[in-house]
Amino acid sequence: MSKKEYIKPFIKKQTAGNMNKFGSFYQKNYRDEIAGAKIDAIVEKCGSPVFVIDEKAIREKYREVYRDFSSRYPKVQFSWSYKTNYLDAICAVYHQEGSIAEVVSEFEYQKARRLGVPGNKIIFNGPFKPEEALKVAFEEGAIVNLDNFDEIFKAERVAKEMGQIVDVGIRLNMDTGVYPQWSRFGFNYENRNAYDAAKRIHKSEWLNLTGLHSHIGTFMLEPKAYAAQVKVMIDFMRIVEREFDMTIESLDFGGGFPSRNKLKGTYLPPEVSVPPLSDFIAAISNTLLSELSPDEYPTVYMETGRGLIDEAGYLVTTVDAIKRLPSGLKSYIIDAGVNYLYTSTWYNYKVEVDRPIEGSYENCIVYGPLCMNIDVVLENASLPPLSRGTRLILSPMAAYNVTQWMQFIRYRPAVAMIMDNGDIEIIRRAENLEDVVGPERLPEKLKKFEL
Amino acid sequence: MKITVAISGINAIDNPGPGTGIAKSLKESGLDVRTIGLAYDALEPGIYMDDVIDKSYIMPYPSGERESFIKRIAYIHSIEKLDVVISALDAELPIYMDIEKDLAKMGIKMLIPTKEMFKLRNKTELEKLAEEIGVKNPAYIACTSYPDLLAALNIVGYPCMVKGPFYEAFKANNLVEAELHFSKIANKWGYPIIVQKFIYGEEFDVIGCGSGNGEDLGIFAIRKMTTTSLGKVWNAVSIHNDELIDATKRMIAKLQWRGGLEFEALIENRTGDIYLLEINPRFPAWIYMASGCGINLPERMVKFLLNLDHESHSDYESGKMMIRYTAELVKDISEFEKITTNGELENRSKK
Amino acid sequence: MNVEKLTRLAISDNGFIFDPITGHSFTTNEIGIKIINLLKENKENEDILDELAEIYSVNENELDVDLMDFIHNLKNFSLV
Repeated sequence: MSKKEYIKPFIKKQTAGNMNKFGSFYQKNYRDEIAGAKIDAIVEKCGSPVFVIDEKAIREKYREVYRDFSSRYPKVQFSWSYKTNYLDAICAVYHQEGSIAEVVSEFEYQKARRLGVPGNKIIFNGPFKPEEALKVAFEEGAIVNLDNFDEIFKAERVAKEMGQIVDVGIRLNMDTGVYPQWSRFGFNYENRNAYDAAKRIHKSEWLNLTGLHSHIGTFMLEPKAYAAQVKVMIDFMRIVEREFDMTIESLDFGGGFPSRNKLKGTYLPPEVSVPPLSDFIAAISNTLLSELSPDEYPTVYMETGRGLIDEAGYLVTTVDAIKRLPSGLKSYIIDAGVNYLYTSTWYNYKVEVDRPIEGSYENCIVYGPLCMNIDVVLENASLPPLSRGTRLILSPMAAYNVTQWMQFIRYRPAVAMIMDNGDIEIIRRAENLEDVVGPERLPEKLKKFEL
Repeated sequence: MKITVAISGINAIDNPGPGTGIAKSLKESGLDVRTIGLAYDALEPGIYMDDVIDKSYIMPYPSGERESFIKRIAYIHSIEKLDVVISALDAELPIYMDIEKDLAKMGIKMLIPTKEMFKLRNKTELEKLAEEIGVKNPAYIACTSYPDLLAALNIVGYPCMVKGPFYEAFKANNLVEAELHFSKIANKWGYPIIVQKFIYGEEFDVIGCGSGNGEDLGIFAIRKMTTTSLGKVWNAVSIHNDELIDATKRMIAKLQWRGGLEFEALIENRTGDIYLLEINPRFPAWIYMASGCGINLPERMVKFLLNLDHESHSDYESGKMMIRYTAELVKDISEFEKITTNGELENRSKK
Repeated sequence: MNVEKLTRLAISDNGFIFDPITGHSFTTNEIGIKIINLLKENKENEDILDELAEIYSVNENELDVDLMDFIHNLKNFSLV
């Protein structure tokens, strides 16, 4: 006689507020593939944990958003926000789609150039640009947005040394009715700091103001804030064009669009609470169209990062141990920790398992492998009873983790891309000892010891 | 014709949902209605109220995934053949707005506000609306952090009201109370939390149902006589205050309101000015009072959705009182067992 | 292990458990009911493992861990 299918035993006490057998997880949350590639095959090739990026999802999202924007306002140019994810393969997909590069440091600038992006297809932002980096950017014709008065002076010095008048943009900040107002970057509009900056550039023999930039915040949930931003920037454009006889050729509205990640401290699921990107695009383009006449349409740059990519990424990780805490709470230890998951600070990721699992869902806590008390990947997950070896698939993952991750105790894992034909390509291999110790130098006298 | 209506919010507890009042209104209407309770917890009293709810199902939380929610309703629909769903909880309304089209494809009808209308719970929008319909709105500040709260209190002063994004509103007389309410609400419901100026006056409520084309299916107004410590109406008296009723009608017309609504207002003692405190995009817990006075809004809503002849007058008597009381039901634990283990429970009506 | 409390529980086939002394109720599943019944017979853990391994297709290590976890939970709920 064949044996019965095994379902893990459980016993649960009925307590007030905990008598919903479906809770948040009525649906069987499992997936055994990502973009057509089997999880098992991905792990066999790349190991566990592994970040997995879906090439097709990136392209489809980009095309959808670009089409949406350009059909409303044709003079738009997207620029890939390198800091969101600057792996070569990721950037190359965006460049193939027609996106230029937006960088915020000389490292990112060099990375974009090395990948083959011409200098004049790079937007150089950020509050700190070393003089040398600024020089290279000017020489190569990059679009440079200045952040503060010291930077205006710095740019002036560089241009003077080069003996060449250079075009620059300035970053603005303003009240768009949202909290918190990002006031640390750029020149403030309300207190006329921005006006003074334009005036100073106007007076300069070496600088020419041609662009305005602003980036109002991050994970913005209110499309109207962008409408307010666009309005202010157009008003400011009119002022400087009129008073200083300048021609503003481009407006850069930055990024800050949300993804479908679930922010901690929000109740509703992101499918419901996060407005679709088309709402943001409509807010921006409608304001542009209503405020401008067609003969004065400037080039509009969009630096969307997270909103374009986040949902195209996953982290596949494996359950290594199961532990019941003294409080009765169930806990799991997985092979990926918060050092790879910078965004775990503010998101409750979506969790899927790699197989259908029968059994009662239970509230549990999921720990990473670090020998550190803070290594909590999921503080309050509702999961069916998992066996050792079960793979958890966490998402959305493609924004910020792979740039902000930290090598700590363990090697950083591989990043795989599932190509649009279903092939699995490793776009960054897992690290090894050489990668970590390579930059180290051991002084001669410390080389010998006996224990 | 037997009509099947699913109703949420059957948590007739100390912070009551309107579900049992809606179900009772339908049971006492001219319609032959089978009532299906959609509960989130096995101890929601409606589940056990034989004469009010015919069958109950446990629902996945609206904070979970949209897909799970739809699947559960599809499952219930496969058994019950639902004609109408009446959603009556603020926290779940956004998800119903989102899936309304999916439900319509299954043949399930709803009369609920659009997302734009729902945003009126957002106080910035409320301020604008109040101005447009010619009433006042108390000064408020939305807070998303503790420093925000401190800044807001400095401006608003005491006493003030501290209100959650979905539920719960508390009066705070000092910083300690404000902090307490703030952290309590933040832990439970997240942000933003509203800090609002406290105005001395009397509280009134107007309820109605909009058809979506600017017309209403009936309006009913009360003065709150007593409220519970959670601020819920306990006793009320029906009134005819034309200014209030006209303001509500202006709002329904202006927004082409769709579905049930509660217009919470305060009339300031000193000036007699009407302050719009809140618009709840659903029926209130005391909805049965209107039905008892001849303005059966749930019945009208269902008839409107099913294209049946319905009344839409607002002719009721003032001076009718609502006495809310507590009552006890005795059930065998086997009923509790059924709802906890199967997620559904059929009641046997004594009628 | 004192299993006396387990004997007083009212356990229905669908896994609903009611403790008439404390008034607490619990839910469990088919295998949970089996384990409770075996514990009531004063069976040792090894014997329970053997009996369950006969019935279910499961690796012994996994079953061992799950049984310990289940008994740990019974202790948490003061049922043993």
